Amino acid sequence: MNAEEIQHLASLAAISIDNEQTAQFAEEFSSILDYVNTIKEAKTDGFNIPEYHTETLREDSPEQVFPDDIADSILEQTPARNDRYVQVKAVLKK
Amino acid sequence: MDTIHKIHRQYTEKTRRPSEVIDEALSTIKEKDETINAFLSVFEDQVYAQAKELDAKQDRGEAFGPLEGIPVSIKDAILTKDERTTAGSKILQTYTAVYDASVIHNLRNEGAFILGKTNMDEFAMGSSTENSAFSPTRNPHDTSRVPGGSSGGSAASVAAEMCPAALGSDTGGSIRQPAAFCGVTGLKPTYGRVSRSGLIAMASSLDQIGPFTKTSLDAGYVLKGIEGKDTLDATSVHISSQRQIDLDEIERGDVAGLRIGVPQEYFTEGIQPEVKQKVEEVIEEFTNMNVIIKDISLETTQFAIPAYYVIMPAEVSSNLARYDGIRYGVSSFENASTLHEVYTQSRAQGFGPEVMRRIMLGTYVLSGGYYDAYYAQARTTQTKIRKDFDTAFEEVDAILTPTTPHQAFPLGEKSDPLSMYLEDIFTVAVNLSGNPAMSVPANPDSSELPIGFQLIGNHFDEQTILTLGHAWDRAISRQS
Repeated sequence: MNAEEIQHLASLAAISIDNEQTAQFAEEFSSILDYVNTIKEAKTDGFNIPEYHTETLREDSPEQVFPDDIADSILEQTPARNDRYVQVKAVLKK
Repeated sequence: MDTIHKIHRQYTEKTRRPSEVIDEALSTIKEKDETINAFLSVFEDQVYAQAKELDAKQDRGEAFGPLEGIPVSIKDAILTKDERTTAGSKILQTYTAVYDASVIHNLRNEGAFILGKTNMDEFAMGSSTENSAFSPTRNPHDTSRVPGGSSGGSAASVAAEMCPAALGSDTGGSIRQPAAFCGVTGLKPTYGRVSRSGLIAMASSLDQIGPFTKTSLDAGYVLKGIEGKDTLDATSVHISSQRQIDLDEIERGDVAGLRIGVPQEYFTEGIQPEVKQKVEEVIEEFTNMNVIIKDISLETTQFAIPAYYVIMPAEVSSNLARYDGIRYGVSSFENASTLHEVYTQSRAQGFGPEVMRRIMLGTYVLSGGYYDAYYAQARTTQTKIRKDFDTAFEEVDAILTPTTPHQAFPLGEKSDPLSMYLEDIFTVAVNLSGNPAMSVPANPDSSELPIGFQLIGNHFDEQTILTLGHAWDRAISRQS
């Protein structure tokens, strides 16, 4: 794994990493992947990823599981807030 | 600290008051936790208030439930309402849970004391609790050594006699390995037996909450209190009457005629000789109880870790996408100029290196061009691993292995990520297959360091492994 590939992964994962971290991860990744690559040697003919057919959907009706004031406690945790709205940076350019 | 079984009897016979048990728990924490660092938070006021109520209940002569008045410590990956819940991570160090996890809800209904939150590897990623953002926990048997991970704080709290029980979570061995290192019993239930609602998710198809206790019988007590179908967790399963835990049957410990399989692949050269010796002593003791020992083979063993380190990071990369600095947790909102920077900088600030490694590994194995070679291949291998166990259980009632290849290692010894991953070599396979598995303390090594053996059961057959564990516990206490 080279620095460019690590930077690409970090970007896909939405994590900003510096050059020193990039170099460190590149080295660690190579040895981890060497080991993980042994999965390719597993003979899996005749086996499939299992499919499950159990019906687990519930009734589409609101269940009173949480108290009414839970919205307040959730909003209290929000890093940036505007009244009862979660505030984010501009999504659309003017 | 006495066992749950004993304390419950003391409450019933009125030879002990709940406030006395809580006093013992809290004073042990005060005495030892500055060194051990098992707890991230202790709910002193709440448990004192609850103890007063339970004292009054005892005075009124009312009956106590099996878990009533029992102090339980909780891994900080499990949400406790109105209390800090951090998952051992900086990114959640200011997060207050807005609801109780279902297991907490159950424990509160049972009248247990929710004693406090315990330290863990960040987002359950690690095998030593050294990846905690809040400094490591130390092994009570030797404080220069790790307690194991990721549920190191929970394991240590029971080993240090701070409480008779703790809850942890196990995705690749995170209950069983610290149990082995700390000389306590740790049970990972069958996938689906215990609700995951309110457990901060690591790998949703593998995670299970389970108990740490001193004995197998106590583990049965806790399991009964937390298991069962939960409408908030679609993967949880109703426990049918045949699958119910029978504490009386566990206590009888009738194991004669049961068949234990010993898989050759788990007794390879890489094991510390004393670990092998102590586990062989366990096998011999079971033979003395007229348990039938069978040599078996689990061919797919060598692929369990590679498959796990594809499937788990893949799910991690998805589950940890929610930590984006928008709704909760550490946020770079003030300094970031764009929305994307809020994400990338919040995550850079809040996540430790192991978390970043696993998210990126998961991103890699799921990315275009690699999905078939890694993820699809790992999932197919997982089916084969499960089949291996199902085939074995046609011939045996339980499987016995060492829990770990060696005893607890010194803090700071394992700096290489891959060598840390290999710590889980005997534990990961059952997370992939869904089978229940429990680590039970064997006799310790020549320097009194704990060694654990693992009992693996058939799906939803915790009863058999708890009974075998109890039979061993009883044999050991007779010897001492």
